[in-house]
Amino acid sequence: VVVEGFRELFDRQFEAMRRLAFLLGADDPENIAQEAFVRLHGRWSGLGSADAALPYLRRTVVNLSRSRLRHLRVVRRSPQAPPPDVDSAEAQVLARTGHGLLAVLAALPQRQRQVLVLRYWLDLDQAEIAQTLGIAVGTVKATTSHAMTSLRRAWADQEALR
Amino acid sequence: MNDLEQRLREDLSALADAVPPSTGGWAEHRRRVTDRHRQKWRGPALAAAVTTVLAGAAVGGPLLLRGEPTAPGSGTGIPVSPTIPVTPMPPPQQGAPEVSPVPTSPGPPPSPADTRPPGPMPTGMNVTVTPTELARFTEDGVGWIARAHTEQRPDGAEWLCIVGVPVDGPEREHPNSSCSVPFDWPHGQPQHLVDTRPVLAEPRLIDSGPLVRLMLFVTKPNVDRVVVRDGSGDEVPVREVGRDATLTLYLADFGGSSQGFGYTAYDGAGRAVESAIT
Repeated sequence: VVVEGFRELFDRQFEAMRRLAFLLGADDPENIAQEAFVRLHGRWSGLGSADAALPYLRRTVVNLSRSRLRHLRVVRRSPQAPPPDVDSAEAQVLARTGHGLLAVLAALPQRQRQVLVLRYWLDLDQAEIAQTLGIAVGTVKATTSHAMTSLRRAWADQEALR
Repeated sequence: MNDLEQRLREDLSALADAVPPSTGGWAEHRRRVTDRHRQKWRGPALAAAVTTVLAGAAVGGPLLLRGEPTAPGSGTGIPVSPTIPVTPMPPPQQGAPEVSPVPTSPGPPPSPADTRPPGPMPTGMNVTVTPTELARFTEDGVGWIARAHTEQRPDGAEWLCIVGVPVDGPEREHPNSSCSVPFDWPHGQPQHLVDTRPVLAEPRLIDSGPLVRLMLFVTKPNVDRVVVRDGSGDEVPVREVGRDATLTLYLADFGGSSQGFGYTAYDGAGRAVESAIT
């Protein structure tokens, strides 16, 4: 049975959740978005209101994306000589776009990356980011500031190399 | 908004737009939901049994799941093979095999060759890691202690034994007690540096205590420490519980299901020498 309203939410948000997972560094964004929706489906009746669905989805995607390790589908042994991760979603997009931002994001601490993506891609305000990440608003502010400093420096370094 | 923010916003949008759209997302969602429902309705007992199997073995259960014959040490011999991906959310686009929880029978009791009777150590065996307590649990009103030790057998092989003994009472071993040779059985992966065992997971289901949360990690001497993460990527507490010249035993407490766990082993120089995700 398809829960009422759920299909509409899926149609509206599935791609966004995939892209959120991708921007957060997940190697399997499709899988993460799918898992987030399955979990949402199981909790749909207990959410209290439809307004709670999207924050729940975002939080789930962030949590599932939290560890690259968790989502790597290639078992890596002897990391001194790791296999090339040519099949990852990031690598594919990087090859296609030649985008420098991915490399910069990948070098940031995970929390900084999360804050930047939530703020500047999803357009969440600080309270929403705090709720999504389960941290204080003050921490969001400080993390954003540090992230922007890191980003400015990294971009400057990239420019200098060109 | 300053230039930096503007550029970041534009670049993030461009990156996100470069992700190709998904095909068949809704159909895949329905498949997953249906699978979950199917599992749910198999009943609490089976679910618990499956949890135990998966928690203990994560991936290593393929032998059991496929119904292949058990081998010596089957009681504790459910090693996690890092080479077999088992995950609650396998990536269908990669064609990875999905290992669904399937009903498992309790299986035959360990053969006499699999377990050593309680009492004095037989001649020719040397205990190399003395019995160390892993956990306590209660079953049918009887208190038990789960312990691990290693013993060198006359042929030179070092066996890892996980044994349940009563807290008070006559000396006997819990039926789930058994021994196996790390790294050699059942997958024969001697090149690995890390092997794992659930704690007294079979053949009886013991889900009322801490055992289902625990997993024993066995490492070779060139591993200095092991970091274990649960299915959510959170690091779980690990403590060393025994060591001899050839093996070190670590006990990981997942606090819940160990399904989807991963680990990284580090050498003395802090270099990662093996990692796996199940």
